Amino acid sequence: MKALVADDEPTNRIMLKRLLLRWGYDVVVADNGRKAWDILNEPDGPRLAVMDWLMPEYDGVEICRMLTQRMDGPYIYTVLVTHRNTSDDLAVALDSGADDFIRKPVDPIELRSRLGVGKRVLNYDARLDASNNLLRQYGREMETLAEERAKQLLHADRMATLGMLSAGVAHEVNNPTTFISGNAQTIARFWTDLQPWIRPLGEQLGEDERRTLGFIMEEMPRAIEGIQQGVARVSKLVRGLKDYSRRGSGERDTVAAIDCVRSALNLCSYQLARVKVQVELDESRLGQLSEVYVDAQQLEQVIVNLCVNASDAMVSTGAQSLLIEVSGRMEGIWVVLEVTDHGPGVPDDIISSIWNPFFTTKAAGKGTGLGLAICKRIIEEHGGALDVRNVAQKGACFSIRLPANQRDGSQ
Amino acid sequence: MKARLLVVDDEVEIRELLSRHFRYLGYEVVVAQDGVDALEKMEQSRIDVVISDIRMPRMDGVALLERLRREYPMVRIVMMTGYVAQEAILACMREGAETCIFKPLEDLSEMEAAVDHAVTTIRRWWVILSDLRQRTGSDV
Repeated sequence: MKALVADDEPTNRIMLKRLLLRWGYDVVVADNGRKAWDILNEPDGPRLAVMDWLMPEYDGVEICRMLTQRMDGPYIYTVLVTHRNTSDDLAVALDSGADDFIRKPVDPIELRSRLGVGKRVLNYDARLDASNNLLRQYGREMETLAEERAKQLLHADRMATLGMLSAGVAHEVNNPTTFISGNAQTIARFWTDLQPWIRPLGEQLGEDERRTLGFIMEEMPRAIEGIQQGVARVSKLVRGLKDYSRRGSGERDTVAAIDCVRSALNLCSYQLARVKVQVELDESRLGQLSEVYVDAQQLEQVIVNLCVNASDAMVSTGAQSLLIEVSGRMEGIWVVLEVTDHGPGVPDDIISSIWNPFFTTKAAGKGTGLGLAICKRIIEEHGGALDVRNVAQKGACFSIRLPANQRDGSQ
Repeated sequence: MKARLLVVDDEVEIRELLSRHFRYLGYEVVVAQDGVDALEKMEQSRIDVVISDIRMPRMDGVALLERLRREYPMVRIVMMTGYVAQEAILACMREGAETCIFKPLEDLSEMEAAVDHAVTTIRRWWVILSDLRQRTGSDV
């Protein structure tokens, strides 16, 4: 342990230094008060100080007072050495902040023991300091956690508001969509019937008018088709918003995970086959999974969604192998279902955004950006989790985690 | 005889859309803006098929359906709705609606088929009835 010996009298200084060296201290010396003060203020300076009362510049008592008054720096155990010996002197020394007081001539045995006390005190201080640091670290961690949780809550709240808002918007938009869609269909029928009657009229018209009529005859079906496509897109969005805002109203039942996977794949098999995407099903492992207590239709919807997304990702990027792997495993109480594609994976910069409603990487009009948001909501309402990670040599892997159903049906 | 439809919806554009479409297809169409209005129109003329929205002010579609079942048991009723609410759909089923079609009516042929089916059923009864009348008439 590093210790300071401060005394302006060389004999005393050397004697004290020798003693302390013998007792195993790492000794620094100072021959006046200012030097002593400077040494004590060095970073990693001595924590134990044996100081003469009377010294030039600052005396020992002054240094003790300054040490108690300073705002930073570690605690230093101070022992004053002096030939003063009244109780008043003792009081002055201790009141100024000195921890101990020893009379000259110094008795080595006494000094050694008194320094031992100092070491003990410094040890307590170190222990206290360590636990303080630990507490501070916990405090910081708790703060970070609280901050993260607050962010999550804010996000959840925003999503819930969005859910309510979108349900309202969906219903408001539905009615005008109905009469745009319906009227477009009526007009389409009008036009089909009208066309053969108008065509002969062209013969009575001048050349310019005939050309205009020809243009109208040609473009009218396309214009109507345009309206109908617009309506179809709005309708799809409205349906998506309704699904998104609808909260678990469905019936839950105990089902085998593999049955849900099979019927989901049946539902999208045509869609996948059309773009030559194949699905590899890990039958043996899926068959061994525990049952899950779910709204089977909703779980199927999630699997279909993930497969169609996987297919889109592979086809749109021209992936070499158009293969989706569907597998499953048990992880403790969890049933984990995974849909892995052989596409380019999800880029790191968007991997946290893909769950946000309206986030889409598909071309305008292709995706509503609600698919994954709905999937996540469905799985979370079942007490599970939906996550994504990229798998080397393959592509994106979406994993559905659902609590396994207890045999006694307590779930 | 032309089949007569009553279209009930609180949204004027939707009433007109369906009225126009079915008049073009050869039906006679009367419109009403809610359940109360619909019951008044029912008193004024013969109606064969009612197409009704579910959510409406004053009297909603389900209440109208219940009244029609009681007071006009011969009338066929096709429901339509923008809200996918299970209770409402079950009520329609219980009260014997022909079907329930969801807005935004992306494919009007669904509605046409439902109305056509209702009208065909009614026509069949007319044929049976007029048959009977002729026979009993000749008997008497």
